[in-house]
Amino acid sequence: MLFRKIMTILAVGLISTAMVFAGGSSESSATSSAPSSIDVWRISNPDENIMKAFEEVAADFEAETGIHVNYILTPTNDFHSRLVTSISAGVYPDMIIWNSSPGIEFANTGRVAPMNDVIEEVGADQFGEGVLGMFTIDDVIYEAPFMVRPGGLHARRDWLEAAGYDLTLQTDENGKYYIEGLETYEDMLEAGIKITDAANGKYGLGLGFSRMAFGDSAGYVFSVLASYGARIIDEEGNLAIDTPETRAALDYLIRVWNSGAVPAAATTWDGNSNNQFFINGDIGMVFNSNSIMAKLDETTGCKPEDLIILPLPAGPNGAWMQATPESITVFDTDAVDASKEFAKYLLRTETQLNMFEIMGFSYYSPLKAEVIADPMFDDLSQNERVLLNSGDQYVSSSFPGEPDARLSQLFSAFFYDDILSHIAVDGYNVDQLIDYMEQTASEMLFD
Amino acid sequence: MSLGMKKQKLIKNIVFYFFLVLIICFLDFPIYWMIKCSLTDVDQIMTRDVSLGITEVDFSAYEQVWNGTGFASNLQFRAYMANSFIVVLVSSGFSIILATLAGYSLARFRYKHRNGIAQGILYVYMFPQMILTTPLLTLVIKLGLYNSLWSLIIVYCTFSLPYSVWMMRSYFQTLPKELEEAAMVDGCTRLGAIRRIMMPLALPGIVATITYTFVLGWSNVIYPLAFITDESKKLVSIGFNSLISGDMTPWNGVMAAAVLSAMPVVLVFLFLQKYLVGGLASGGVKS
Amino acid sequence: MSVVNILKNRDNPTRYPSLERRDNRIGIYFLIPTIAVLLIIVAYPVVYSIVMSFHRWRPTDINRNFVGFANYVRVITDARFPQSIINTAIYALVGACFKVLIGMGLALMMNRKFVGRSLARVLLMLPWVIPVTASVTAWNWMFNGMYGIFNVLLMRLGVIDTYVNFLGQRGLALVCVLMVGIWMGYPQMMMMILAGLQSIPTEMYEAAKVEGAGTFTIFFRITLPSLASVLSMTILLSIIWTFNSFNVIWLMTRGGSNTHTMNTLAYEFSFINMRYDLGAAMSVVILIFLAVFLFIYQRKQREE
Repeated sequence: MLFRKIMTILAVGLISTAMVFAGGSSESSATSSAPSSIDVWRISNPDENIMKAFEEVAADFEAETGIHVNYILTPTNDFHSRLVTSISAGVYPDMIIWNSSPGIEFANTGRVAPMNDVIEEVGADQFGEGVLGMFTIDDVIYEAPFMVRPGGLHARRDWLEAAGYDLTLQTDENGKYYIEGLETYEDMLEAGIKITDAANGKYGLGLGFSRMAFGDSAGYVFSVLASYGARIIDEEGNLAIDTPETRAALDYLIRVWNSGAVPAAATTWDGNSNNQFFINGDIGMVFNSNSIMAKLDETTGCKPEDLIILPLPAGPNGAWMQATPESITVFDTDAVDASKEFAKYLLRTETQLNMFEIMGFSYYSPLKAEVIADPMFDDLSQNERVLLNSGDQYVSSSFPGEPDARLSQLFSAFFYDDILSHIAVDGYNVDQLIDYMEQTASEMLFD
Repeated sequence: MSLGMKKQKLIKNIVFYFFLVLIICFLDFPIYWMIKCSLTDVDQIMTRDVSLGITEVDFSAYEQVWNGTGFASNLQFRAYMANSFIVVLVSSGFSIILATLAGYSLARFRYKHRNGIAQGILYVYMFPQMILTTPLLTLVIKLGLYNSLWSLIIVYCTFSLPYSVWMMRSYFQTLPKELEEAAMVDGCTRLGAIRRIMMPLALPGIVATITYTFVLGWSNVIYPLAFITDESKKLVSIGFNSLISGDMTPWNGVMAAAVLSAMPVVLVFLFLQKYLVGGLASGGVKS
Repeated sequence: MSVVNILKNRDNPTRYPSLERRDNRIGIYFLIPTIAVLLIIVAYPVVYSIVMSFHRWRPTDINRNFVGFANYVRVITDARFPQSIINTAIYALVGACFKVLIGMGLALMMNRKFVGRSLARVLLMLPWVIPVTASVTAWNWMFNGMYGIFNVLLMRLGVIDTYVNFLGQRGLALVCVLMVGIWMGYPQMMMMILAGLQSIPTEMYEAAKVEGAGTFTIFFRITLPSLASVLSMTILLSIIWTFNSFNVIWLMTRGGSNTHTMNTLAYEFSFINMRYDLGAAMSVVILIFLAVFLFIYQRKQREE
């Protein structure tokens, strides 16, 4: 009897769940195939205001056009591998809003919809030439620049002042900000060593020497390489890694690790660790997108008044920072027209102003000239001005110049992160690093 | 029994319990730590002055995770739970139905390659999931099941089905065949004998098997990571990953989510563990 | 798992003399659905992987040319390949060894009758029951180089004077990962051995006690021999499960700090380097290793 009862319960349970489910899945497939709804991939961000800003845009857009926007949120660490899995499986999202240049990376699939018409309608003059250049191959624009997550060198004002630095912000003849004694990467390392107090768990430099830190570590290595004038490929398209510039940059990175200004734990940091420990008051300087500012309050280890954003440090080749703007990539799916409508909607000045109204100038900052010109951005703090001031020093995952899909693949494939983990974990010297870079790059780029 | 012996026994018991408690404390420390961290404020976690005991009991992290508010506003934790339940139960149920038939067949009937097949099924269970993932993904796409829980239900059978078959086969082998033979002499058909006589006897084995596949399925990571991108279809085993993103990982929230995600399996296990060990052992004794 | 009885009843053709051949056909029908499902979801993917491993096959590229053994050559000459084999061997053998030893010890304790036994059993099973993602999250935080409890405790005890980066150092990282693997795996072994222990007739112990045998004699003369078949199966399964385990290492170090095993390396090829062809080749290599191992095991078994 018991057996029969259990079997009946089991069967009823199975059938009912199966029915619920079949209902659920058929419903969802109906909505996703109809062009009245688009799937938009975005980075999941726990910040409520950002979530709200995007939700409101979607709601307004639906009210205006009847097209439903379905956001698919994915954490940074999984984003790339999920995207590749999905695309290799033949499942293309309708749209991606991301900062790792998927349009360029997947241009070869032939499924990325050119955005030239969208940009034309918005006005190409609204964006800096460099920004559009990052997303253009042979005059085809594969991604529309949306906003940028401004990156900056966040530092502890109190620690640096205690170490004897005068932190007055000065302006050079080109209108660029600088602070005396903190202008170059060498200065930064020196300052980092000075403010380190390892016995009390305080470290000068918060750089993840780790392969768990998708994005952040790679961005740092990339910035150093670019600022020292290193290249991966030269104008003729040949591998050009073994140059004095690259060697100088790698040597710098090795010295940073050996200086003791970076905590040993940095080899296992993930993408948030640097910001987290900075906010918690353990770290003196970190490169990060401008999301830290909004997180500081009287309860955090680093108080709001302790934060100073330093102008970008320079190498022999100038000051460059890896920060790819968040871009809008549209794929050639059934919903391509609806997606382009939404892209245009997102790029409208009033849409963006509304979004900034909700989320503030913290995580994102504007790229579009009309938006930047709005009075809303007149009244900025010093830190915010420094961030906006370095806007034209951003480089994407390709070195300054022509974008190359293969270079962004290198960026995504832990190529740069592994340079750091080879330094910190495996103790590689410059020659070994060059070997590693040449072998990996030649395989990924030319095989 | 003399007083001395009683005393000796008492001491023996005390020593036994002492070591037992020590071992349990040692082995369950990570779980204790997980619970402790989930109940504390983040400031109390990210500090070097952390105390070993539970200093405060604050359920707000649980509340936010469960309701999807605050730091967990992009989490749909309850949906993940429901999805995990559906996937694990349906695939375990499906597996056990097929496996009961197959296990009975392998244990009771005689045909060529019977042992070879049984061995083969065991080897299937030993397959690394890695080799299956990419091809299964293409298969799932072809069937139009990408981003559907059905994909996981089917794919979870790659481990739950071979295991269930193996387990049920061995369980049936321990049951005396005289009972069903007697039933068949009494005019029952083979199927009737299976249903009336064998199934009720096999119930502990069935429950043990389901418990086991439930635990396995609940914590699988590779497949949901590869086959699901839709937020509302995520499973609990990967669901709280998105908390570890953004600038401040709410460690208390992550730990609370971890505790919550472990809750159902622990409960299932708590109620059915008797069957799990008992089911196995009784089989051994009877044979 | 349920090895106890299988091993005892193996290959005993005289057990079912009364069953008719016609009846046996029903048996085959019973088996068909299972075989069909396994063919689709296991055999097909394996064949697919093998095919993929001989082609140039990347997610970002539509061209799929036959390349012969090029992918295998590339995988075998990869700098991480030899280390991944060594790590896998260490991880599988040392891990399995400790899992079985700890499982054995605890099973012997749990085999006694005492008040609170089922509670103790549940508590000891928890590491296995709790989902991997949940417990690895806790372990990662405990090993953390900035605030991890292990660092805090070791510092307070005066064992270390600066914080140790457990998961970021060669060698140490592998030990930590191994430890977590053992922690998660011992309960399964405990259960299997416990089931084996409970199937040993109590009369045997009583008889031995009457003859005045001590605890150790009983263990080595009765318990261990009776467990022999269970143990051999337990150890085999334990080695293979550990061999295949991917979650712990991937979630803790992503194969960094020299902790790559063959499985994590295959995952890295496929999903990080975006080379499905290399990942497939690596998977096939894993399969070959597994097959060789099982072959040797089976021959050993037959010899006995």
